[in-house]
Formats: sequence, structure tokens, C-alpha cells
Amino acid sequence: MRIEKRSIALCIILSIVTCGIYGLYWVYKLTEDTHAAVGRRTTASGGMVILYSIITCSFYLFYWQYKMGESILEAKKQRGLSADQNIPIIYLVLCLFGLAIVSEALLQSSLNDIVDFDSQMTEPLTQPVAPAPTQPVAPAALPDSQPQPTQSPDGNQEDKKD
Amino acid sequence: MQKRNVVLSIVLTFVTCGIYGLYWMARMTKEVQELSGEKKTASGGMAALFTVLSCTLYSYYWFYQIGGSLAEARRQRGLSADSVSNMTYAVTTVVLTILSIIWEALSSMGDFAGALENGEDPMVTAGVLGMSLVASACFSILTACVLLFMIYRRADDNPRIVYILMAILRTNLFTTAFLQASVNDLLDHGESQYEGER
Repeated sequence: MRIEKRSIALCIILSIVTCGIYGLYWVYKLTEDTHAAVGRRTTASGGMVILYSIITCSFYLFYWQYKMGESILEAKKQRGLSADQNIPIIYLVLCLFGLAIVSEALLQSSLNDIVDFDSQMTEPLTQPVAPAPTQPVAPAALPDSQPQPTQSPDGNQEDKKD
Repeated sequence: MQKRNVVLSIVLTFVTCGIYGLYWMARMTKEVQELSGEKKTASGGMAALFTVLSCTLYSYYWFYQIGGSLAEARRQRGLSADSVSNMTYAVTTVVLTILSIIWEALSSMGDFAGALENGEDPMVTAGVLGMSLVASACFSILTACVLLFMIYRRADDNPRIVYILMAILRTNLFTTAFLQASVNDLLDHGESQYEGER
């Protein structure tokens, strides 16, 4: 599954305009995109995250934020990007103090960085030897996002997972 | 790009009731973006505008991104991620927490005097004001404890977590001062060496 960049400002404005309904969809997409970036499931799937947070009166979101931070850290390390070890704590602290929208924005910003990095990495692969960054952990991380030879039309959202 | 006196900037921010702080924020954005070569927030003026429009919510995002960019810029030049020592952070946290509790207590006393003049029941007023004072003091002390814990036990020497907790403690002004201290240190030590390498 390809991840797509999403405008942070637009997401926040839409969440406010739709009284938080778009916010739920955003949480869903953040979960799915982060899982795609790491290459494995680190929390419940997007739909279940929303269900759990409604059942637990949003307490599940604290756990979710922490796990999302850990996942982003893992995804960045897989790509050899520098990452702040404190990210999970930062997300959790922001969520605890009622600033969950800020940590969601930060999560989206990190995901956008990863999308940028992946698109830079996959394009020069056709050239002789791309300057591959040092990959300290798990070198088999990138193939998810390599463009297929037969490019599927955009907006095509098939569910291939599981 | 030039160094800026941290103490003078803090005083100016107080004197201008925070207006200078916004200008400071805009300048800082521009400088850090130049130093690190990456653009992770809105441009200087827009960052200040967003902060005002979002009732300071944007500043948390800003501290995270600018703190990260600055730490990255310092590391590229072979410096540590942060030039401010843990001790300085700890002392600032303790002093600011005590000052904010004293401030709360004084303003509660002012409210109490005002309520007495209006002829309200002194016992009830004292109870209500006392409760709210204790609650806000507990919140300050709890946050300060979390902050002190994170200052010394953070997993990464990147100061972002400290900046964000300080912003939550409502001491944004000093957070900008810490950023400025790191920028000044970078301009002192890192720039000449970095220019030589390029």
C-alpha cells in the first residue's frame, strides 16, 4: 500500500468544520499509514482503534499515541533517518495534556517526511548506484513503497493486506 | 545572522507584553531554517501569526519542529544537540514553579480582599479560593516533577521534550530563550569550522 502525503492544515480545518468526524477518519488513516510505513501492525487496525477509543472514552488514544510514536521511530530507523528517541513520550505527554491535535499533526508531519524520503529513494534506484544511507536496523524495509512497473492509476485503493 | 542577547530579549518581551516575543519567534524561525537548511514550519511571520490565531496551540508544534531542526544543525557541525546544561534546565524549572505558585497565592489574596469588600461570606470565599490555589499548585508541582524527571532521564539528548513540557508549564518565553542560547553557541563555535569544511 502506498502512503500519500496529506496537508496538516487541511486536516485540522476539516476536523474543526465537521465537529471532529473528519478527526476520526484522520486517526484511521494515520494508523493505516503508519502501519504501512513500518511494514507491520503495531496497534489494532484503523477501524478498531476508533472503536476502542469510543468504547474506552478515548483512553485507548493514550496507548495509541505512545505506540504510534514507537512505530514512527522504528520506521525512521529502518530508513536510516535520524530520529528523536523521545518521540513516544512527547506524543503521550501532548495527549495527556489535551493537546492530542498537536501530536496528530506531528505524526502526520513525520509521515509526510517518510513519504518524501521514500519517493526520493525509489526514483534514483534506476541510476547506477544511489547513495544509500546507512541503515543500522532491518535493511529489508523499503520494498513496500517501490513503484510497480505497471503503475496503477492514482486513487486506486485496493486492500491487499492480511 | 547575528547573536542576540538572551537576557535583553526576555526583558523586552516582558516590557512589550509579549509583542517582542512574537518578533523573536519569527526571527528565530528564519535563522534556524537558514542554519539547518530544512523548512519544517511555516515561514517566520506566518509562524507568529498561526500562534496568535490558534491561541498558542501552534507554538507546541513549532517548538517540536524548530527544536529538532536546530539539534540537527548543531549535530551536522559536530556540536552536541543542545548547549544548555541539565542543571540550567532544572534550576529554571524549580525557580519558575515557585514563582508561579507565589503569583497564584498573591492573586488569590487580591481576589479575597475584593470579595470581602463586596460583602461576601469570608469563610466560603476563603474555601473556594484556597481549593483552587491548592489545585493549581498541585498541577504546577506535578508538571515540574515530570519535567525534572524528563530532563535527567530522557532517552535522547535532543531537547525537544524539555521544550514542550516547559511550554505546557506556560513558560514559553524561557523556552525561546533556551533556543536562542543554542543558536548563539552554534554561531560562536560551529559556523567558522563548518564554513571551512565546505
